[in-house]
Amino acid sequence: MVLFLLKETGLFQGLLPTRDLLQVAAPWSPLATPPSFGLGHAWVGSFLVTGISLALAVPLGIGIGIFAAEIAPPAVARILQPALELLAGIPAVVYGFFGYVTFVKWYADWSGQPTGESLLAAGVVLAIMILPFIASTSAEALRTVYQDYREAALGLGVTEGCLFRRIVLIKALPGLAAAVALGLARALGETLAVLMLSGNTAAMPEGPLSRGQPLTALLATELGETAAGSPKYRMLFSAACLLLLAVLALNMGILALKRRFFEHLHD
Amino acid sequence: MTRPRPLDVLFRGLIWAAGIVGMALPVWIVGFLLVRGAGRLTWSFLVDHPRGYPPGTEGGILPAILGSAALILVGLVIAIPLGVGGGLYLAEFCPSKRLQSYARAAVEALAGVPSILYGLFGFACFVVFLRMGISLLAGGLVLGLVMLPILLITSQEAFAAVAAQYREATLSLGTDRSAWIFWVLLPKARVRILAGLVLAVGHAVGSAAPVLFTASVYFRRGGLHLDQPVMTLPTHLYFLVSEAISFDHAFATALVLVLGLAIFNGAAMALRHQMRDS
Amino acid sequence: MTPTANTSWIQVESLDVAYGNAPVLHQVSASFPERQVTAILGPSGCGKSTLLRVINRTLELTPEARVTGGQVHVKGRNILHPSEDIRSLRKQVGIVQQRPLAFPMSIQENVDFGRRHHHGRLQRKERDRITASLLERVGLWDEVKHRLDSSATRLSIGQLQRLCIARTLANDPDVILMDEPCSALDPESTATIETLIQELKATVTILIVTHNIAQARRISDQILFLLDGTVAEAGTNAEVMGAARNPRVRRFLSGEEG
Ligand SMILES: Nc1ncnc2c1ncn2[C@@H]1O[C@H](COP(=O)(O)OP(=O)(O)O)[C@@H](O)[C@H]1O
Ligand SMILES: [Mg+2]
Repeated sequence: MVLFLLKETGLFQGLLPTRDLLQVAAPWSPLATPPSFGLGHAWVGSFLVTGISLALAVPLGIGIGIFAAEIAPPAVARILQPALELLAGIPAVVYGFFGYVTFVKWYADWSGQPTGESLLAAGVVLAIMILPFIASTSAEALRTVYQDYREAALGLGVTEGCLFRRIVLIKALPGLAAAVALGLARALGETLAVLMLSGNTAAMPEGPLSRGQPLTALLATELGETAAGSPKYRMLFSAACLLLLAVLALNMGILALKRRFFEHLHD
Repeated sequence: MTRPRPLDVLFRGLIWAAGIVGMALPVWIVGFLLVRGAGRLTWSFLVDHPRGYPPGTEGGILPAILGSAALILVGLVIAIPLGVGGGLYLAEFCPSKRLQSYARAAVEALAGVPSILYGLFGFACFVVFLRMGISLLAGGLVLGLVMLPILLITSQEAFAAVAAQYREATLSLGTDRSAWIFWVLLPKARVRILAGLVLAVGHAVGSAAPVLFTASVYFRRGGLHLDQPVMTLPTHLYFLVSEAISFDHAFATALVLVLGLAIFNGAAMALRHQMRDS
Repeated sequence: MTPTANTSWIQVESLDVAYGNAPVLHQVSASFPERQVTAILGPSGCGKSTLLRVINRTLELTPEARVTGGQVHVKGRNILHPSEDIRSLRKQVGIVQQRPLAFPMSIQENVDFGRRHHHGRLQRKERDRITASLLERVGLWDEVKHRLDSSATRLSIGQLQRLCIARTLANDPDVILMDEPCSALDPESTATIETLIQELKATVTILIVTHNIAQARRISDQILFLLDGTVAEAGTNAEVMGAARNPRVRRFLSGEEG
């Protein structure tokens, strides 16, 4: 099925392989003559947004994972679980809207600009979106390790901090890495929130506070107004293929990490 | 008295803070939507058509609700047979363990593919290549594909769990395979498959990216037709915001989506509990 | 908290323990004299491990386990009291758990894990000397001396069991609780551990759970026999082995029931 999807999407690219993909520095100006299809700004945008979201969501998500796995009293854990599920169940477009009426509005008010979209706003909202996935994946990894080692280590009279640093963290590392990779894959492919919050401006972003157009936003914006089979169309699908490859590679990585995690548990 | 070490105290404090943030975030988001949107959310908002100029500044969201529901139904028509059948095949008929694990890995990878790529695929394959145009059919098929991997994974797991429990007991009585599948496997796995279905539908209802350029338009009059575009809840919300049409209506629409999904998931959970008890 | 001279033993009074709503120990009272070996015997599931885990307070790491009544004194101090310093108690009353478990680190670091925490880091030479002597005492040195820095997770169960004993000894405890420490050992290693126990007796109070009646006869001074969570028999080795009053205990000891 993966092959099927790859082939079908790739079919359109295969008709005429594009070298433009490599022109990182070229601008995206499909209407110019000759048209130029540089995707550099989109990759930089995706990279910035994903980086911001991971920087926020990884520490917080793993923190919540530790909390859920070990520290939370049972009553609190019973609240936390559905709270995270609720967070995971909110649609992307609602997150986009929510970000628009909070972070974007605040930034506009504060900076005095008419609108406040920025890559930072997209990154922050993306962080909230991937948070529950990182939290529950890492909680699962930590829980198994804690179950195994809690009594053996604390029985020697060491502190819980020592148990965590010297045993749990090491043993759960592949599981935590899988949680991060899962967050990364989700952040990279997320579209709607990024589309609504990043400003959707096809120019090289100057920094996290500037507007930009991550790859998924570019795809969503341009596809509707592209003639099938045109060079621009092929370009969009080539970019989509690269995105697909990146996400598939991440998924393989997650699977491998999970397998390693469980093998290690049993040796 | 246990002397806590300062670093440990700091660490515990940070972890508690993370946990509290984790619980506060959904409260904040849902609360925010409730406070700002509840006033707008009336019965007539649910059962009226968008009105005013541009449409959506007044009136309601009935066609978007119906459109979303129709898309899901079309999607389920392909996702249920393929998903449950595929799960049954992988769990019961798959000739080799190797093939099973490769297929499983492939399906899991598919489940992780971003929904925008499903949208692109649907646009290229259904809308352009198969000439369906932007239509309920094309969008429904794409949503079917979005739901398929989730449904396949959960039903395979459900079948495997039942098989582990009952296979020997049933087959040792000398029954044949079809009896085993129809009288034991399917009924026993039903609850878990239903749970997977709820998960998949909940995910598909809210995703706008796959239907943005395969099925949906901002505004449309007239009924639902397979070969015509439809309105959907998530894209309606998207257009309301991105075209700055009406933030009041956007709040109410977002609230309908979130509350609808919460009620849907809650009802499914209650149903599951009931079925498990009986 | 100052220990007084003649209360230097472990005293368990009317102890009740339950997992959830299921009672496991009822009204268990026992005293374990200082610098003697007490063997704890009884059929599987009668609560032997539970009793040991109460004494160094690792039981509370199982969320559903509750001490519902009674007291435990170690050197005159009520260790179930909320103000008890649990970490120093667990250092003082060491446990060798029924399930031997390697920490995900080298053999050397496994031995040093608790000791380093309680007694601080040492010069490398000093640490290596201590590790060597501990592994020597548990009879593991010859098997692992060339791979002290390799992962401990690849040891066999029998090797792990001895590693865990060394790990607990490294803490320099006053009391050692051993939960079936020889269950995976060959006769030769078992003999090494029994010798070790005899040596340790000079300075340490030992409680050992065992299913090996002959071993209990060989190494113990006192015997505590549990049946279904209650004390069925308690006394010196000779008293219990020779003249147990409880008929089930007699059958168990003679090998007719087990
Ligand atoms: N975590 C637990 N939850 C519930 N019951 C338990 C748990 N651990 C032990 N038990 C029960 O407590 C009883 C005593 O267990 P244990 O002290 O391990 O017995 P022994 O070491 O004598 O074999 C057994 O019946 C066992 O099933
Ligand atoms: Mg036991």
